Amino acid sequence: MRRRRVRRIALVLLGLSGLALLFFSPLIGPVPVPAGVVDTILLHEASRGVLGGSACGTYAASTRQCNIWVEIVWDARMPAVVLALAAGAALGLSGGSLQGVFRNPLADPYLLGLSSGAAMGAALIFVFHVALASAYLALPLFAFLGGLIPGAVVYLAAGRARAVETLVLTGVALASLFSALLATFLLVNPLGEFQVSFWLLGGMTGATWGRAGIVLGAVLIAGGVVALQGRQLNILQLGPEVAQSLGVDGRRVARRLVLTTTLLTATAVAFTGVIGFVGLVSPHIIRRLVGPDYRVVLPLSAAMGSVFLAAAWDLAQVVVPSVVLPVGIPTAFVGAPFFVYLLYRRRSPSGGPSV
Amino acid sequence: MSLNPPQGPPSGLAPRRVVPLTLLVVGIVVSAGIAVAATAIYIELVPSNSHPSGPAVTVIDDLGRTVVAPLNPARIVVLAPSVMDIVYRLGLRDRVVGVGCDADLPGGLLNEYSPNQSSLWSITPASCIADFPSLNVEEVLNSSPQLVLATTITSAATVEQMSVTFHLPVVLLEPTTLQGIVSDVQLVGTIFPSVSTATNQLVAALDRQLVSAADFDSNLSTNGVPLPTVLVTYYFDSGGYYTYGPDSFGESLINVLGAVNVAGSTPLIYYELNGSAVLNDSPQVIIYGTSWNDPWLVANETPAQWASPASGAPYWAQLTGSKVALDVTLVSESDPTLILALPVLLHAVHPALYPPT
Repeated sequence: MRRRRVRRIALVLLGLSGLALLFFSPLIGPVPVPAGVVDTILLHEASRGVLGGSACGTYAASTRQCNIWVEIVWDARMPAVVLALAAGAALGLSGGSLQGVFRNPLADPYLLGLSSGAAMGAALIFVFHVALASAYLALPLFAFLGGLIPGAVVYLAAGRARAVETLVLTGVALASLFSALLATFLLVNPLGEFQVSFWLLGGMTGATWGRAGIVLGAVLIAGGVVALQGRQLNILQLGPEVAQSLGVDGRRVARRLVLTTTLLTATAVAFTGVIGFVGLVSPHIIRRLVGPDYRVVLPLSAAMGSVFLAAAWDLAQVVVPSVVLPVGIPTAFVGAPFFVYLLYRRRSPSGGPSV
Repeated sequence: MSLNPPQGPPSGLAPRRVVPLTLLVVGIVVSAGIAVAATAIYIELVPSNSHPSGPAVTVIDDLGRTVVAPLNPARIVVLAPSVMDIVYRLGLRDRVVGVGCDADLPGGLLNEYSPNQSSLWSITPASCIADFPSLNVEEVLNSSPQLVLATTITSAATVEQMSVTFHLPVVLLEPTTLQGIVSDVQLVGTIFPSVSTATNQLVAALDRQLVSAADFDSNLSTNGVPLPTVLVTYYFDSGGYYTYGPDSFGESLINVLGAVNVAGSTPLIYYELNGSAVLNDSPQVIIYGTSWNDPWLVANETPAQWASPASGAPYWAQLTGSKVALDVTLVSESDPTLILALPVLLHAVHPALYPPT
């Protein structure tokens, strides 16, 4: 009963936090926009002009200034906020799924070499200037395809591997291989290294409603698929032999989830770059709160990741005035110490494997 | 034998009702996801086009992009010093409402412009649009420009976002040869026909310099004068020199100067040579750039700070070629100033054959 209450509280808090971020994050940005105007713009644009009167309300501003503010708030900031919420959900959900599949609390969305593959795909644009004139579409496409390659290899290996440790090691090996390939590419044009490095740290710059919608759609689709695997994941935690005796084919579940998380993570990374710690930390926080039931852990991990990344994005915009940091910096600065704290805090019986 | 009824699922519903309900909910969520994703993909692939109101001109920029730009725009944002050089020389500085620069160093130092450029072009922190580590698109929008002139140093994806999402005409200028710089001046002049006189004068001046350099090179060839080997570098750290490899803009510059690039046979376009490699190449002329505004670079810009071999004198001291220090912008920025400074560069490479300016 207590655990059920905690779950409900966690769900409500995360939901409220997400809504709060949705409304307050557009207030944050390098260009000062009056808070009242931001709220009016959100109301006006979200209702397609039905609510909120004029776009800038009663605030005395020229038409040109008002149009600039509308562009900044609705076309620049809001898509970034929605993208952060969606990408965070994608990473949280992927991290929770992979930690369940591999029964490894250190698993995260990039365990399968996705980040290295995606970075290699992005490097083709920055280093070799492939399709540079169409970089707006080419960059996420190349990053997506690059991220799929190692995931596809692990997916195929999942059909043959006898143990999940084999899959983990396969992913680690692929990550090393692609990192080496990336380093080779960067030798060709060190100027491209600059842009690849910042892309690797992640960010919401370049967010549009379309891109946010693609990631959000991917989260909903993957979330639906993963939601049906919660019970099987719970059984898998008992070990492969026990799972087999209970009628759960661990290999099939692993393949399904590897495929789903690969597609989901690659979609998120294509538009945000590589953002660390979200997929690693979110499931840990949720498991400590609500226990190890994956039917609950997975959706709440998505919600936690969503809130975490959106808050980190806000932090990335305000830490250094007029400079938007790569969002991977605040997620690492916040996530890493918090993760260490979680690991060394007194464990509850529902905690993960001991070191 | 237990008389207790079997435990039902925690929700209290019988299993047969739970499963269809779950599948229904999942189905709705997945369907919603597909609808959202499909709509979003459509929006991304078929963006609404919005051309400038009023007179406009269609140009092809250096990346082959077709851009519809307003004629004689009154408000422009310039995101690179090399482009600012063109804008300034055409008398368009007063139309610039924002320049790209990273004014994030203590004291508001500007990392992208030399002191001469900052002074000449009136670059101040107030006019800066942060472009490090990524371009601040909000500040671009806040400037309300009608045209953005940039190079690919600004992330191409960000530049395209401005073009596609915010319907801002963005022209990318990225010349790969000295002649390309002249073409860029003409391209900008096409957008600003009101300064056609200044455009024609500048193009004529640039052409004269290029023709003069070509004539000098031709004379060298005719008289069988061996071409000197040249190392051009504008940045060095403890690892070594950064220089221009094959097929780079820098190599085209060296060729125009009637010289041979010592790094021309390297397999990479932009190469960091190590000390022993430079010693082995033994360039006859070493041109290195100075006058960076960044305090750290100023403190470390003298090649004498270059790393030393395990034994013996520092690499720099062992080099016997003539060492010529020039403003860094003359060896690193592909702009009209570079072409107009060709006589200075030619004298640096051929001190005995080309008269000093």
